[in-house]
Amino acid sequence: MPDNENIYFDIIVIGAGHAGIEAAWCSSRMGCSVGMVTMDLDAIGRMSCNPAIGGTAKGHLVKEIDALGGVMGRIADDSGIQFRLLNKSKGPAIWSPRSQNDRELYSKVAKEYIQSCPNITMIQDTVDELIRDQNGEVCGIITASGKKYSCKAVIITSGTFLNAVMHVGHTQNEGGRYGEKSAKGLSNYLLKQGFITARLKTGTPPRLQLDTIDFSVCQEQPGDIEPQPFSVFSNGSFPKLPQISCYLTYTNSQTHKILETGFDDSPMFTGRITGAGPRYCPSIEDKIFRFADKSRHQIFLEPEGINSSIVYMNGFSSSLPEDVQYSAVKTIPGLENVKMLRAGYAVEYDFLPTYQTNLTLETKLIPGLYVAGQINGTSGYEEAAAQGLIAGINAALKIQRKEPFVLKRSEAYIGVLIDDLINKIPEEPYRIFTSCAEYRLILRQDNADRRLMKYGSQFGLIPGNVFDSVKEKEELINGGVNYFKSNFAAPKDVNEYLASTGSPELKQSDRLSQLIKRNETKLRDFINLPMFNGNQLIEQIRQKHEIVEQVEIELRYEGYITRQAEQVEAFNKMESVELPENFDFNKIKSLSTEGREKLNKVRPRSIGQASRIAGVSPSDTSILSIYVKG
Amino acid sequence: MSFDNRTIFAPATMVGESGITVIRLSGMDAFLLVSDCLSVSYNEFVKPKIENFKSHTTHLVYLFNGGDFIDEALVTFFKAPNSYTGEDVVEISCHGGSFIYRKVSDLLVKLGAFHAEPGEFSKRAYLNGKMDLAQAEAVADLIKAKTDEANKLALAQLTGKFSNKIKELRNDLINYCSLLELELDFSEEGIDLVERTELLNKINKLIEKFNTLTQSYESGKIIKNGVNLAIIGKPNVGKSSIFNYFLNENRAIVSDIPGTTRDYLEEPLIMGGIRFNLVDTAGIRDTQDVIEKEGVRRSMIKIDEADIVLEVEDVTDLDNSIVNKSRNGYSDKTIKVYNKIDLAGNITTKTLSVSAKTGEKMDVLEREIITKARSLVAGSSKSDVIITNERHRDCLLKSCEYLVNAKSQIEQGGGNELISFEIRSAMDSVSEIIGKTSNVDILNNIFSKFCIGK
Repeated sequence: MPDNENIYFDIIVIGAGHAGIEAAWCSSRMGCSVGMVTMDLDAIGRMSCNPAIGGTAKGHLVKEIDALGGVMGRIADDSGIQFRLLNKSKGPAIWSPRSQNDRELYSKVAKEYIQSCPNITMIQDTVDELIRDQNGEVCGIITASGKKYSCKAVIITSGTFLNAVMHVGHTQNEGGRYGEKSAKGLSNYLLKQGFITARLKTGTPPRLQLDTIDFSVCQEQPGDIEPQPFSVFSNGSFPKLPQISCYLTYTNSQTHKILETGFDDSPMFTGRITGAGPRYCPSIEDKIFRFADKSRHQIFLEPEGINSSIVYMNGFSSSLPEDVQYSAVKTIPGLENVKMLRAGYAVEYDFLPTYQTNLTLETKLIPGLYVAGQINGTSGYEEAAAQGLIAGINAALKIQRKEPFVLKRSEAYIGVLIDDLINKIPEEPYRIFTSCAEYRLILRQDNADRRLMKYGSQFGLIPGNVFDSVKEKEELINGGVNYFKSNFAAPKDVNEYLASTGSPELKQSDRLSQLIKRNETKLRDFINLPMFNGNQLIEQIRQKHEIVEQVEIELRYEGYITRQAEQVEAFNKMESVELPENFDFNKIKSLSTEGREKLNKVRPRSIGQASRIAGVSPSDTSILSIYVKG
Repeated sequence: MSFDNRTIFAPATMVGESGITVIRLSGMDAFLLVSDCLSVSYNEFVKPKIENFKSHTTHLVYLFNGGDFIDEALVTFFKAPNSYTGEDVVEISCHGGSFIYRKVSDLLVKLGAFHAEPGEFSKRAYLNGKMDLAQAEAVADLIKAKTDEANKLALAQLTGKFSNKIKELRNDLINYCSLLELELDFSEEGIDLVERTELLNKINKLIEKFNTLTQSYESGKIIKNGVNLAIIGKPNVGKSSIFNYFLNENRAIVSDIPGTTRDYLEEPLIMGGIRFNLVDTAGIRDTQDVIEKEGVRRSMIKIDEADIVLEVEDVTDLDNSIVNKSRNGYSDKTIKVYNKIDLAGNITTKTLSVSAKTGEKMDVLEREIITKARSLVAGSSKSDVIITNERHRDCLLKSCEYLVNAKSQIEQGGGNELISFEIRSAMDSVSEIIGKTSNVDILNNIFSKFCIGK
């Protein structure tokens, strides 16, 4: 008998990547004892691809994770070496925060956060099998070293490690990340239990040596002058680290010509990689092949850290032979004499198509088993972390016999992400976009805390004082919006300002909100007009940049926010028409064959969810509604 | 029990004294259910081998209720999905007469069939994907069509010509939307996919298309519902006589006493292949009589609703000031006619002078009315598809409104997310027409307007 037979954890998290961290962090903070099993204790929170967090729509996820009490935003803030709010030229719904991070430091900070949780135990090992009790529920694990641990729930966050194969040109190695092993045992175990797996691929670009790059011929990309943190917890000393710039350069026809010579050797083009690749994070060979008329592509040169000599070549992910990659890289301005530290490579791995899981990320086949992250077919750290958080919270809630936690599409990008995963079986790695969120005008990064912190607080993941400050903020914003909507300005109060902005002057009094809605008006200047002197509410608002900004957004977007709220109401109506858990779709004969097949696969819990399943037609939905409403 | 597994039935022809009555059944168990009352012999109940009956074949059978022979009938079988509803369908042609129908109907209920609700057959056809919503609505229109034109429009809608047009518009919207979204998705890569002026042009063209379609409703509704033709004028100019003349019957009371017609009268009429709703109104004058006052008020409403106003004057008494005073903005749709030439001798020089009493020149008036009505019907000839349904028009109007918003967003340099929001809203409204979005309340409302048996 193994010597540790009676070691028990409430929850065992397999993997210590971005999903695993959130799962362990949240569930432990909710009072569960957690065992975290990873192949390499030094690889906690490793940024296996680009050294950056956030970006379009992904930044929204990070803000939401933070509002729910997750830890990604805090780690990114602590290890960030550049912060930018992307898409500032577009509307506030599209603004997305992004940080450039020190790769080593990110991992180190992540480890510190995990170690700060007294009820998380780290275990360096590989999990080969799960143990199930007589009801089929998960009750333990067996590791490669033969050890057994018992538990009530398991969360698999194994990333790309299931049956992973790495490709560089014709060379193939088993392994999920450069220099790391593949987890074959667990993959085989899941297959034996009846799970269906499918294949996906993802890629990464070459790494370059910093002091061999001529940055003088590249375009400098500095961070924001007033950097804003992701996390509501980072208000003290931010940013902690000195800030650096990235650099922009471009490929050219010479680069493309050289890369084309390697197409015959590319595992992608020769068909050796059978997994579908991400459309939105395409390899450079993909980009050249698909956008043949584009003479150049952007390449961002991103330093991997403050003291790092490594530069990440964002936009050049490739699995061509090493020599082809290197010759091509050297044709790019600034990289003529570059030293390539490591070639780009592609990883092919198993994932579990998500119709096999519920919206809580618990698998349908094995109760108590949760899956989160790339194993569900997503790409990206942020998508993984969001799922880890949801799986962690739900595992803890289940153990505590509490109601499960599911975010609606109308509440959060996280809700959109998981709903999409379950209902639209991904054929390529799923990446979140703002276009995925039909209610994006209200799901903004600026109001993530106002939307979601109530849940974080409810689960004990957000301290009372933090939640209180958000409630105060909410009150101030509403107070400001109401004030500007119900008070008027006389021409003499505002005409000088209006003229200075080039906006038409007032002839008679007008509502303040009408003036703020003008394109030329900037609220942060407007509230400094003498007419607001001595106004206590305005004084309070003026003190906080973010409150001014949000009042302005609420007023400018007002009409759209109202219309979107109506849509949400209609959406909620459909969501509230429930389908019983064991609903027999076969008994409804008039459903289309494809519709019935997909309904049986996904087993939706509401009419609304049914309507979103790929392959379920509107008339199928109508039939279901009529059937349910009888 | 759920709608889904029920077998429904209804008479597909009028029930009454007639040669035959056709009863239609539809449902997954229709064949099985019917087989319990079919016999191959009228002497005794001998079930036919119904499993040998092929789809789209007709068989002579005898209907039995238990041991009782009820009627001789022809039954036609349609196997799912090749039937009107997409389910198994049986049509029983029994002898006409309400008595026989009632016996067969009782029998079917006893065997487990349910009386169909209005529109239930078409609803099932829609739900089973046999037709889209606009096509299903066309079925109702087709049945109600009373003229050639109305019939043609309903057929165009039924065969999907209208739906295709809507799908075309919808696809345009989807395309614009995806380009805008793609641009947002790739915003970090700095790829511009949509040229603003080009998008503006496209949206403008689309707005034009929507407007043309929406305007076609003006003639569409006339073709479908008929031309509202109101006869107005002072008291005692002979409005009711003209009314009666066209109807070819003494529908309205005619007398020499001014103010005989107190309330309006309305009758359908077909002239020159066009359907009219002919309205006789109370004469317009200042009056203290409470009832007559109300009649005058109603006349004014009828003038507003009219597509054509037939303004009648007495050729022997040309003071028309009161009517002129009340005339506001309907002169475009007015035909002026002078009545009672039989009393005027040959002194009249007015162009359109008639006598409703003798019928003199009434053929000229009739032609005049038909010409005017034709020009109304043809008003939308620039649209290749004509809308006849108010719901469709409303959806298009809403959609168009969103497009106009999108247009002004583009002009003001608004963000992709707002332009896209407007275009998505426009798309949703258009989708409602053909039922691409599913809303049970809308569905039930539409199908409840059908007649039973369809």
